[in-house]
Amino acid sequence: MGIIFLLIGASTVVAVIFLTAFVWAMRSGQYDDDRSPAVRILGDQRPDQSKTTNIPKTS
Amino acid sequence: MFVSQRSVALPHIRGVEQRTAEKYTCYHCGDACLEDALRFDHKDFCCPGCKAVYGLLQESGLCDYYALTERPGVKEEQDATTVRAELFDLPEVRDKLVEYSEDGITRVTLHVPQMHCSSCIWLLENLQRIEPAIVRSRVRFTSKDLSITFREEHFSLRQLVELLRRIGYAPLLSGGAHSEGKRGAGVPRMLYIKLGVAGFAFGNIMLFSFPDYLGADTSDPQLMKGFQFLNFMFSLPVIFFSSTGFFTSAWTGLRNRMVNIDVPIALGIIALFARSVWDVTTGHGPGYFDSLGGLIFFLLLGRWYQAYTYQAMSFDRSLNDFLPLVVLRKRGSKEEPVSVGDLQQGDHIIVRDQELVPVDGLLHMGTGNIDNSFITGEPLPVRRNVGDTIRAGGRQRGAAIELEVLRPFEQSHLKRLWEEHSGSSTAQRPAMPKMIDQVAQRFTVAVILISVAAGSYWAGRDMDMVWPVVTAVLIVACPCALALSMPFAYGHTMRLLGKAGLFLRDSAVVERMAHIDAVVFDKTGTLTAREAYELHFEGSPLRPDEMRRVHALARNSMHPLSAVLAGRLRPRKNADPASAPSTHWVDVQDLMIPTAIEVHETPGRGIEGMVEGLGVRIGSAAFTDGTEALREAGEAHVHIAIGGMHRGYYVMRKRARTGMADMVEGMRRFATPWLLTGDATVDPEVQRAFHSEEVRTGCTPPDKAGHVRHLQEQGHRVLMVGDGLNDAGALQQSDVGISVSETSAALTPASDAILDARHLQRLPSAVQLTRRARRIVIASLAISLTYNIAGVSFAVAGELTPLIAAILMPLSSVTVVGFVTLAVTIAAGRLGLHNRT
Amino acid sequence: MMERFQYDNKIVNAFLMATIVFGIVGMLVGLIAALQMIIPWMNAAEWFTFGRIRPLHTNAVIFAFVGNGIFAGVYYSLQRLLKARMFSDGLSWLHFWGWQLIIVAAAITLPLGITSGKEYAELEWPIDIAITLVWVVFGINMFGTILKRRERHLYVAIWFYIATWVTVAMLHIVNSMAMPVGLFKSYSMYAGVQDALVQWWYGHNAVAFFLTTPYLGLMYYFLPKAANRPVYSYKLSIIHFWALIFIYIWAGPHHLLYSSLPEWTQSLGIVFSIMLIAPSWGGMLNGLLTLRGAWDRVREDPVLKFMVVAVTAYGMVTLEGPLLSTKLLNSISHFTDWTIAHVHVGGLGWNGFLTFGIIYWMLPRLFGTKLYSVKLANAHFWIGTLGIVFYAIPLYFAGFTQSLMWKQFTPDGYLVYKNFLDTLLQIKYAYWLRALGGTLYLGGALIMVYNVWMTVRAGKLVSNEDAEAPAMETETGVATGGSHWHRWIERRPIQMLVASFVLVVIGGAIEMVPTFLIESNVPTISSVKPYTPLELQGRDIYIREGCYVCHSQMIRPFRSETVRYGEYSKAGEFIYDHPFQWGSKRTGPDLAREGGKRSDAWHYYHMYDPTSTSDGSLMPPYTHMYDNDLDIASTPAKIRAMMKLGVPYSEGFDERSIEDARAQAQGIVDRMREASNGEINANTDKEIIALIAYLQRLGTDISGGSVAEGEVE
Repeated sequence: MGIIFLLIGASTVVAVIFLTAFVWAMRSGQYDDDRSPAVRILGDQRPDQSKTTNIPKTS
Repeated sequence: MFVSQRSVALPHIRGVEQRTAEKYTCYHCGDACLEDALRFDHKDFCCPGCKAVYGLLQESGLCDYYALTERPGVKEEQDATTVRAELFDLPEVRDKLVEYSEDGITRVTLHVPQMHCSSCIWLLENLQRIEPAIVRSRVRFTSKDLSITFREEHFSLRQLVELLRRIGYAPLLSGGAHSEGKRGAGVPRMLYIKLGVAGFAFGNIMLFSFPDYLGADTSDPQLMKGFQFLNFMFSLPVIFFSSTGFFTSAWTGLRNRMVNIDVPIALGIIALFARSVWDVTTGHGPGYFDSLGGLIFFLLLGRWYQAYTYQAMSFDRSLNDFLPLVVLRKRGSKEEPVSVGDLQQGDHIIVRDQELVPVDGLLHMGTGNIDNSFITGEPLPVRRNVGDTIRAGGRQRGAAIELEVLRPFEQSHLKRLWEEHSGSSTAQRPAMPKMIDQVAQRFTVAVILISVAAGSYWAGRDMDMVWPVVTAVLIVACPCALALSMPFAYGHTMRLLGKAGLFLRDSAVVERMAHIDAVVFDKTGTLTAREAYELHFEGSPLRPDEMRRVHALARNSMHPLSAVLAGRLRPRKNADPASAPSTHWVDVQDLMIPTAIEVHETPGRGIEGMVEGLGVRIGSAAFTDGTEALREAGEAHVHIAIGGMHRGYYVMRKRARTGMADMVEGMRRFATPWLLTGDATVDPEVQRAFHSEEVRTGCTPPDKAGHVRHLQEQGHRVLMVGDGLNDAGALQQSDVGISVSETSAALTPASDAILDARHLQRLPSAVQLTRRARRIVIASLAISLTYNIAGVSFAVAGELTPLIAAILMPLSSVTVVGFVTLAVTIAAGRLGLHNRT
Repeated sequence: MMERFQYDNKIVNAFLMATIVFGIVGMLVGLIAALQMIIPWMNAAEWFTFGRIRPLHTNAVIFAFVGNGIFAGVYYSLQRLLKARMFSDGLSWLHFWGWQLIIVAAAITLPLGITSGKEYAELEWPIDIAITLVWVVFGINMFGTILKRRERHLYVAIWFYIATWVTVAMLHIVNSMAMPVGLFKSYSMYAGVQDALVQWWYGHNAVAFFLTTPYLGLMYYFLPKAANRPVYSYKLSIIHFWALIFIYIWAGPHHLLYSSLPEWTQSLGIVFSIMLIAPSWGGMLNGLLTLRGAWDRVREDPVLKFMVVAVTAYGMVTLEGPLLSTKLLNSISHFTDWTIAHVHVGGLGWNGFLTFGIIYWMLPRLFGTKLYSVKLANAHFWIGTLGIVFYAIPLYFAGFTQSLMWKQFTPDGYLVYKNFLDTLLQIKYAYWLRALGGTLYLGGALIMVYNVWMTVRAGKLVSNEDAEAPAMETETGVATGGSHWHRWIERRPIQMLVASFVLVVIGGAIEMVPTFLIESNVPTISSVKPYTPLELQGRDIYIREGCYVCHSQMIRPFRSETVRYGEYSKAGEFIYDHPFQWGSKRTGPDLAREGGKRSDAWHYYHMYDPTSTSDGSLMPPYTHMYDNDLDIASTPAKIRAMMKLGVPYSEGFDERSIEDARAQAQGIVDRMREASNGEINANTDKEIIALIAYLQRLGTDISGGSVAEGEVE
């Protein structure tokens, strides 16, 4: 079943790539603030956005 | 439950507080409104401030603020930490905050403790919609920092601060860009990386060990060899990167001639790796790489949890966090701001309402109405007249006063107090043997003995078995579970206590708290509340409409007592007049609150004004031409005159905190209580809770510390519960120092824990929990030891297959962790420490 | 300082429209396929038989509908998350047209029977290469945008996009390795078991990284946007991502339970599939909890409705999947319509509904207007939901019943339903209901088309949406912690890019590996011989017609199967199968041991009109094989290709292959003539003869030579 090594090889390569990505993300402080980014994406809504939605907002 | 554990600094307490929706709740801040809530845009607001913010956000199209979280607003309130905005014009301040400033573009980082929810983040990151001169604003929620880039030529730093304050996020001068202390707290990134790498390797090693578990080894030897090689590869980062921490710690331990828990762990790790490599290279078997990966992964998990629960609250605030670091110096007619340090003897300074007196001074002009609660916990302001000395640390309440500086800041009373008491506290605590280390030592010795014994036994029979057996023993004996039980037990205890309103400095405090057998209380501000008063009226009772008038006028006053009065005088609908208490009037025409006109407040004397055509005066006896009545300790009188006629006075007396007596009673179960107070007399309510011999009156701060030391000399382990700067010495001397606190402004030097004043009565249960936690740890140690023994018996018999190891080791860790967490949770539940309110 | 720029909405709109168009097409083809299973005459002409239509359907919905949906969502969210226009408009449009071209190519080649015969990877090698190129274009465009972004933090959605790109690239390359025989024909580089393993490792991960990760990314962006609240726990979403990434890649083998794959590979697949429940549900809960406190909005807002159902469906499927990968359930569900139901809950529920939700949310914003009708959108929602229900439930039931019927024995040990056809006719009703469900779902989609059309007419496309954001600060001060950390962040995307290319290179290097792998791994069943030229040609017809869509060639080691079909399949039997033809669904009986079961004549009649030999058969007639001449000229080339792949034909056999084929064909024709007393007078040059030759060879090799244990690896 040498083919297994092909697959494992390929998979591992990918896995290692993501591990590196993980380390970079960690070191670069990407995850230092695990709250704001989620809110930030809501920021770019324009005030006049209301005119593009006709679903009544209940807030 | 992913909300950061860090920075539980008390604004957060406000955050966690249950917002009980009374008759009206403020749409902005969610506080209960008085009956006379302000209506605006079909919404209720508790105060003009909140209403204003709403208006501002509404016109900037930022009302999503209210959509993200219910009632997210922060009520603007004056406390010791709010800083005069004009100060931000000063170079000293500006330099402290500005990170860079090039061609008109400036970036500052401000510490904004008020931010507590998604709405806050959203609003603070969309400031540019309110003020176009703001280029970008970025929140760092975990450290509660706000870094803003703005066009300074259009918009000064000061204006920025004012804007922030207007929307309820007044920045602190402290903890800007440059206060390293607050940052770097919590889990270090490196730990996360190590954990990630270990987890990754562990997972893959498991993967490649599977064929082996499933006994596929017959099918294809070359495949198995391949897998073993891969496992070896994956184990390298684990051993040489992820587990380095344990080696270094073990090594430093040994260099200091002491065996800490990491020594046997390091032994085990090395044994695991060496044995596995040996097995693979000599073809003896697949090796124990899976166990190795698992072991390190779980151990790091423990380390992570330890760091995660470590609450780096800004416990030791620097004095500057409380002082106005810049004051107004009066030179002739003009006032100029200077930094406190530069004040010279003889300078004249202006101290405004709500500001701290930074240096000892002589009252030169105006009337001092000084609130010393900051120093003593004593809330009632004392009157100071021209010529009196005012000591640093008091806060002026009322109109501005002018002081002549007696001695520079460096030599001032406040500074000295601070010098004596504050400072890194846990360091010089009386040493207490850490249970874990004791265990570790005995454990290590045992392990080594066993392995030697087993080795020599086999040496006699079968030389080839020696190496396998010895390594096997070291492997299974590796006290993974042992190392995990303590951080998880204490860490979890600490988190639960935090939820219950007692915030510990770190999990070591848990163990120390479990040992205490004497408890020393400070009275004022600790057992008695700061601003809660008992109120009753002396004199000819007021008619409802009169009370309404008083209320209407009192609302206009800055003076704390008037504020109390206004707050307590409440309209009450359709109850019969006879039963109405002296503080409630039966309302005739619904909720109409009349407005007072021609209001004039004379600092230190009182406030007067016209309400519904009648002149009303509230203040001192003289001010209302009444007669000064005899005052008991801790009592205040507020005289009332209506229509020029003195009607009597409200007697205000500090009330002991709710459940105080029961709390003291509860503490008796495991500690003898003492009461130390600076006052000459003790209000009967408090007195009742103690036996007479347990009370010491008229204690100076040194006395308090001395008493604690004395108790310790008698072999007691002392818990000190205090508040205010004058307890700092005692707090630090004690084995465990808890400071009771109501606001974020509270000064809590040298304390191991902050107790949210509203939860004082929980103290006994809290101490009880720490004791349970300790017992739980001991139990868990027993469990993990049984596992080790089981494992060792396999090992000695030379039958520890990789599979057994791979099952046994994680299993033990998981059971132990599960057990302690569960047990502690249950214990806390039994003690009723689960809910927050 | 404050930089003004424009979001490219034009490209988003283009992808969006493509999504809608191909969505309708794909669903329509699906509906046709569904009807073909119950109305044989609907297999109109040779180009539209079920065997060719079903691959068209799967390709259309997966790569055209979902694919374009992904790109629309990514191009919209990526620009806004990074506060930057796409890296290059040129690349954007190259990407767009390239992808549409590929789709058109697929739509043409598949009905023509040009297929590699590997499920979900049917497209032939020239198109595969095109896909690779377009994918690289997409990659450059995405990473380029990440490089010139103005927002430092990479939102979790972007991580999902990156994961998608990297992984799909690798999967596609590894799985598409093939040996070309001319422009329209190639043989898989791998054979039999190995091919199966690669194929399902790919198949599973195609689901994982084409239908799941990108959509999770989209969920993490569009759900919070639509609900106007931040995701329930951002930290959880981060954990969700890394956990998923580290586990998903390994979960492939569970598709081959009870196959001739080594025991432990299968078990491994199971374990990892089970482990997957955790991260998947983490994602689902995170999605649903985001809406806590907004359920009143859900009631009014069709967008949220669609998303809620989508996320719920995701949860159900990710729970069911692992369960189906356990041996117990798998022994029941595999090869039945249960699997079909399972994937359609995922496809219709998760992918379909999320796409619809996103369309309804994005469209008004692209055209700066209101949605034409919320009512119609709600109608779409309800009809669509009804459609899913009508689709899935009958098929679950059908799959279950049929499976039990296959396994049912009489007390004295005979199969109750000896005739496979009986078990099929039993569940015909379910196929009708399924078709109904499909019709409803399509109907809903058509309502959307109208709604979209009216909305588009009402508004005007904001081709370039103005936006402004400050440039990403290079000097960061302490507030962001760590020393020089920003350089890392500046560099990371480049690193990712480099890493990805390294990966592709490695993929290319791996190209060589299989060839020698095969030599080193030929299992030993002495009696297994390569196909004769005619059989090989027949096999290619078998592949061309997509017989594997309804007929498996894998007898599992169950009594019920060995009794019905004969000796269970051994790994060693497939070593010359490029590609493997195990199949994944039994609408017809297994053919692994078809050889010699019936007379050539029977096959001759049966292929011409299945009902003539099996009453009520649902199999399409293949009359065109009786008209078309076999392309015998291609034989030598095919033999040579096979030899390159390590199939041991004797040296120079390729020259002799044509005579050899002719001879064998003649033999078959003669035999049939005798058997039918001259009634059948077939023409040796016709395709049908080759097919019969292949069918009669199937599984016969070992019937003589006995198989000892251990010969199977």
